[in-house]
Amino acid sequence: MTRLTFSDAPHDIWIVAETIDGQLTPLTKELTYGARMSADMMGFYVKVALLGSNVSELAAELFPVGADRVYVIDDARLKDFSSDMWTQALSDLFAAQSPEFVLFGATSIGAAIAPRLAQRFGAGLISNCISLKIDDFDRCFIGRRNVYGDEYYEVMSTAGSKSHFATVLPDTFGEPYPDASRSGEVENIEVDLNQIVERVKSLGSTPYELPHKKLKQARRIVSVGRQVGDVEVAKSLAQSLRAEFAGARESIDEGYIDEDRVIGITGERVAPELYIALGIRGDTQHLFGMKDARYVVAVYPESDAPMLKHADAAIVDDPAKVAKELMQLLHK
Amino acid sequence: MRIIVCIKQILDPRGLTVNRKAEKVFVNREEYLIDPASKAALEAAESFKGANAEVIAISIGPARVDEALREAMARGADRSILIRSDEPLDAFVVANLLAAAIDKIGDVDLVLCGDRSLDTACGEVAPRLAEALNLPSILNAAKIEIKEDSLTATVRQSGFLNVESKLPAVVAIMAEAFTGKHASAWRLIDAYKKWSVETWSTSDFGLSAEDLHPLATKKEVAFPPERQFGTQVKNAKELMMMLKRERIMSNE
Ligand SMILES: Cc1cc2nc3c(=O)[nH]c(=O)nc-3n(C[C@H](O)[C@H](O)[C@H](O)COP(=O)(O)OP(=O)(O)OC[C@H]3O[C@@H](n4cnc5c(N)ncnc54)[C@H](O)[C@@H]3O)c2cc1C
Ligand SMILES: Nc1ncnc2c1ncn2[C@@H]1O[C@H](COP(=O)(O)O)[C@@H](O)[C@H]1O
Repeated sequence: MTRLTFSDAPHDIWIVAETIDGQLTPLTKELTYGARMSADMMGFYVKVALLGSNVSELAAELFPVGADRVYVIDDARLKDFSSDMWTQALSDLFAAQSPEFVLFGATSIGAAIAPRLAQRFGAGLISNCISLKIDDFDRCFIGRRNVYGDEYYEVMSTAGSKSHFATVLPDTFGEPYPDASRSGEVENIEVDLNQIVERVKSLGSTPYELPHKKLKQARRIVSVGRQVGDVEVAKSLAQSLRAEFAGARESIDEGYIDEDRVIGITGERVAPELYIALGIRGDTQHLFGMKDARYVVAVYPESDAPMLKHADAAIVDDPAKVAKELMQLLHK
Repeated sequence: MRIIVCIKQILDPRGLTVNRKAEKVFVNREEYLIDPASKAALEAAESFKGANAEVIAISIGPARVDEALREAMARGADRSILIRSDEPLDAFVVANLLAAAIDKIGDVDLVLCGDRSLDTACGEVAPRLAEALNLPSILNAAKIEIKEDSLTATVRQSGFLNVESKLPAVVAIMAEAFTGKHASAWRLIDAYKKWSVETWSTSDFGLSAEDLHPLATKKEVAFPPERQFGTQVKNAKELMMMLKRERIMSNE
């Protein structure tokens, strides 16, 4: 294993950029901006590794959000994400530059390459951070991650490692405030990818359905009551959210759900991460079944419904209308 | 064909009460279970049992992990190995130990892990292990099929995608792939009465102190703010913002 070694001189924070449809992802800009805030306190530089095909012109967009230097690896073989190609290209870059702190997005790309590179270089890694800072005393990352869904957090430290990696979830640093007057340098890097053969080949998309989850194990539930308005909209919302569909007892009479999908004292007791109650009034018999949900959203047309008082987010409105709008926002 | 399944044992969250106000996690009932993603990996391995496959379950942890490995045998594993460690672990150390154990076993065609464990959900072990073994890794898999020396997996991206790789490979199976099948009752009895769990030690592999030293450590636990019930939200847009802030939509 090749560990990275460093000089004592002030160092830098790196970001591994991602693009989608030829544009930088919002998360890439957020990470750059977050790195900038830490870098200003520590006297570090912010450097970005930008990989892809025809990505060079995107480098300029990284300076206003905080980059000092962008290392561009522009290669046709990096066009679509490939774990082996990206790992090798970054590995060559890191071996030459010895980055001390590296931020990846907590995305499918970050999940595939950050652990591999961390293993290769013997770096401490904190995955899926929801907050992250550099500790200037121990010179390491201190980051928070969720445990058991979102029940509580663990505060992790990479103290003692020579290099420090993190994958970071969106909204950790917040929306960047770009500074149009900032500028920086671009360096084009050549890496030799000829020796690399991607070992995992894509065969294209395929229809597939995961095994049906029992209500009890569902992570998300969209639940309907008599006042849902339009049950089909509620069903589509469940599908977009990859949520299970359920309801209050009265919904059986309306033909919205079957007996085995009732939540409450005479039905299932559930504890999902997200429970969206659409048009459910929230009588005690129903509340009994869902009070262990981690986060409850209730939409009901009348403001006196008990369900609203038991929700973390309560909307007094037509449930089908809100469900439709939510779906549009999801697909954006 | 030889298949390794990596099993993580976790504290059963149903025995926990999280008190945000007191900033404490109360363990009312200390019970452990096989992490759901590891269980899905076991189930995926079991589907190859007819095809002359030997399934070996491995777990790293303290003595109590014995129970998880017996359950793994009840769920189809032919052999199980506990790498006994009472030290704090991180994914770096776990991957180093698993890689060393897999090398020692030899002739391994397929390594299955869970994609992300239920407790820490870091999802690091599979790609780290693939790196340590210099093998390709396939993450987020829902289904796998084996044809001679290659493997096809259905993986979740935004939709589903088929991918192909030569064997040997490391595949991470997502918890959602589990069909909910129970262990067979007679295997469960045999797992306790007839079969045994092999116990190995972390010093069996000639790993350096550095390889056994965690690079990420837990400092403390922290808590989200107390819940505010009945918070009025104006519309879907505001709701979406709240869900994002609460990170309910972050894992899309
Ligand atoms: C023994 C028992 C067990 C039950 N178990 C369950 C359970 O496990 N799960 C569950 O969801 N429900 C259960 N219920 C039913 C529960 O009390 C509510 O009726 C139901 O949850 C409300 O569904 P909703 O919100 O869709 O109905 P909504 O129509 O939104 O609201 C129904 C509420 O409004 C009142 N209401 C509605 N229409 C009228 C009307 N025309 N005139 C007067 N009042 C009206 C009803 O009294 C009820 O309280 C149980 C009831 C009993 C008595
Ligand atoms: N201590 C361990 N022993 C064996 N396998 C493990 C261990 N920890 C994690 N794994 C494997 O790695 C998967 C993902 O765990 P994690 O990387 O912690 O999210 C688990 O489902 C297991 O398959």
